[in-house]
Amino acid sequence: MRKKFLKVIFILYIPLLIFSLIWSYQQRQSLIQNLAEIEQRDISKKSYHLVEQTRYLVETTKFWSNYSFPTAFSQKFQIDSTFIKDYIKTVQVYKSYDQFRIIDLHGKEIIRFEKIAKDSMVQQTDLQNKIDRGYFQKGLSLKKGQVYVSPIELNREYGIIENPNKPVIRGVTPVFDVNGDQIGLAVINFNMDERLKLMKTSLVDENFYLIDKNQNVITTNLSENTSPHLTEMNKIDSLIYNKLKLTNLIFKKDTFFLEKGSLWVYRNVDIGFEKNIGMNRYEDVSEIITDNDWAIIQETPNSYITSRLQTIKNNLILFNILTLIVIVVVALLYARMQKERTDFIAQLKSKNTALIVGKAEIETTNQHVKNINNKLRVRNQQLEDFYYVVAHNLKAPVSSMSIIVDMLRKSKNEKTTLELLPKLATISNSITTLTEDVLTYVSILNNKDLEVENVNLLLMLKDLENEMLATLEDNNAKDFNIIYKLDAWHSIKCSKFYMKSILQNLLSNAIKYRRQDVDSHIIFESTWENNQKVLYVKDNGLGIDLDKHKDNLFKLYKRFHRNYSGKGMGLFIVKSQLEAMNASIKAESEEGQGTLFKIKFNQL
Amino acid sequence: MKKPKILLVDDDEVYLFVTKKILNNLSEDLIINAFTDGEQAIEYIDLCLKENIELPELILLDINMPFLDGWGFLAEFKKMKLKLEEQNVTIFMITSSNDPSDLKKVKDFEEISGYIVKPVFEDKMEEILKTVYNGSL
Repeated sequence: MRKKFLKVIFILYIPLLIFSLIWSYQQRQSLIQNLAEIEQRDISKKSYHLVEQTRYLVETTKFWSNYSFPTAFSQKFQIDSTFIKDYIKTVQVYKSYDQFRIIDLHGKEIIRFEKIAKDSMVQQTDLQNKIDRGYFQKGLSLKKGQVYVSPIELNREYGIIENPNKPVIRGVTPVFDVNGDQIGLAVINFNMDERLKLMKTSLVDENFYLIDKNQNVITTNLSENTSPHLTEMNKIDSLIYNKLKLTNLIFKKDTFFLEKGSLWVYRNVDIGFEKNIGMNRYEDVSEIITDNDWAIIQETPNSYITSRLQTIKNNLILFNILTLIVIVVVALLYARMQKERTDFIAQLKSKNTALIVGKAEIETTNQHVKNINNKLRVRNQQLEDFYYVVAHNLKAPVSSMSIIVDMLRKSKNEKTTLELLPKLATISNSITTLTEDVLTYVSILNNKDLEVENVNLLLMLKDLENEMLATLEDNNAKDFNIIYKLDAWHSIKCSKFYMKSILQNLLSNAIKYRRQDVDSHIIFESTWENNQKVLYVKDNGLGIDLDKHKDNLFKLYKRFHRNYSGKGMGLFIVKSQLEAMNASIKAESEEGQGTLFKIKFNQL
Repeated sequence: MKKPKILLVDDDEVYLFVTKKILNNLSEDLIINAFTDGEQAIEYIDLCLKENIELPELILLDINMPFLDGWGFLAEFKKMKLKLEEQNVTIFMITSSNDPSDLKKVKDFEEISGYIVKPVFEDKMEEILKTVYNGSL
């Protein structure tokens, strides 16, 4: 019951569990895809602004590569002040525009404008030498018309990082005088502070990383430092650097993936030198030299993903609980139904068994009743025969006697008396004989406790044959054959005394009533019929006309052959003794052919 | 006047002796034949028919006999009935049996004129003779 119950639950629940898990997994994948797409859109917006700013820097810087400086351009002999004022006035409006400088070929600043407040750029007289700065050295190698875009780094004045930190990006281009001789470099600084701050704003607590091609962090919301790899990394920066060593980021391709419990969205920033990414709104693309190969990574932390996945988890759990409840109910009902069915079948079986047993009992009883009935019928017949014998055979001499007595009484004649008296003696003799015969019969009828034993018919018949041989010799009829066909069975449980008497009677009858004109024989043949032992006794003697004598064949004092001595008791005794042993006898006969007796033995 | 013929069929020799004596007492003019079984009686009747001897007018027949009993005799007798022509044969069953089955069997034979249970005393026998011979004795 319990096992079946669990089995049903298992069978029903497992597919649903698998289904719910697959469904949840797909939900989760779809959610992550969704999150990634949102992040990607955010990144592309951020990168668009970064690129926009860089382009503007390039364009602004490039302006100076086409400008013809006076031949004697120097600290003292500068360019037209009205022009530069107008220029400054124009560019200072732009928020990020932070510094404008012209540096000569020796690294010495010649012109230096610096934003000191919003919308206000002021020319500085405090000039520095930038000969050892990277952007200056890179700038020197530029050809006319080329613009170098520096990495984003913290601004330094006099070689020292400015405080407060100011992340800057520089555009550098060579400048020439009217004769086409290079007089130095134009350097424009854009303050990236605001841009980077904007980029660091997050939608859903994600972490923002702007990295270069070497996976160095330029800026991140996790650290105050900008491009720390260019100077000195502190502990936090190292941690961040290591954190970004992601196995899924081998190829620098736009992608997203889950790693270290977070959702990482990676996207390259295309500054627009390549025309294939929709950045070709600048028709005249400058030749830009840069080491900047930016990429943006946004990391959606595990906690946020978990919180978003919570709904799916809750749904999964809820679904499974409900499913389990339904399945348990169904399984309970099913198990109960099964149990009821099993019980019903068991009940049917036991009832059936009871019926079969009952039927067998009834059959046994029926058989028993039948047997008893049969015995009673036989016994009844025997009693009738007995009554008949007494009524007729005893009454006959008695009635004769009564007449004789009456006659004697009336007679005065001595002669008559002398005549009648011997008749009384005859009657007396016949009554004595009758009494003896009846007693024999009654003893057979009355024998309740018949002594039963296993009798070997063959041995018994052989003994009888030897006994009879003497008689046969006397009768000068040696050619009487006794034939045994006792292969089917030759032993039977019965009264030895009766059996001997029966066989003796049958055998002596066969000898007595044999035909003189043929070789006489008697055959004893045993066989089985309907599970019963049957003995056939067949002779080729005179036979009896059964049409005449059928009713009387086994009756007392019946005789069928004149000229043969006999009392007419043999077959009567045979039948009585067989009936006493619960056996029956039937005869078939034809005059001049022989007689066949069939003896059927019932189980004693 | 011809003498009345009576046939006795019974295996009890004492009965035959006694009955003959009774009949002789009643009339001395009777011709009495007796047989101890049905078979002999039938053979006699057969002989009578063949030799054209007159049949007995009265047969006193016992039932229980060896070789051929009373019923067997009646069955054979019935077969010969056609040959009997005008001859009137009266048959009385004289038996010691008052067995119901025997009484029932009597009804199957219209040849039977009476059924008398032994013993048959002289007066009873006289009565029978009177019925059969209608006082012509």
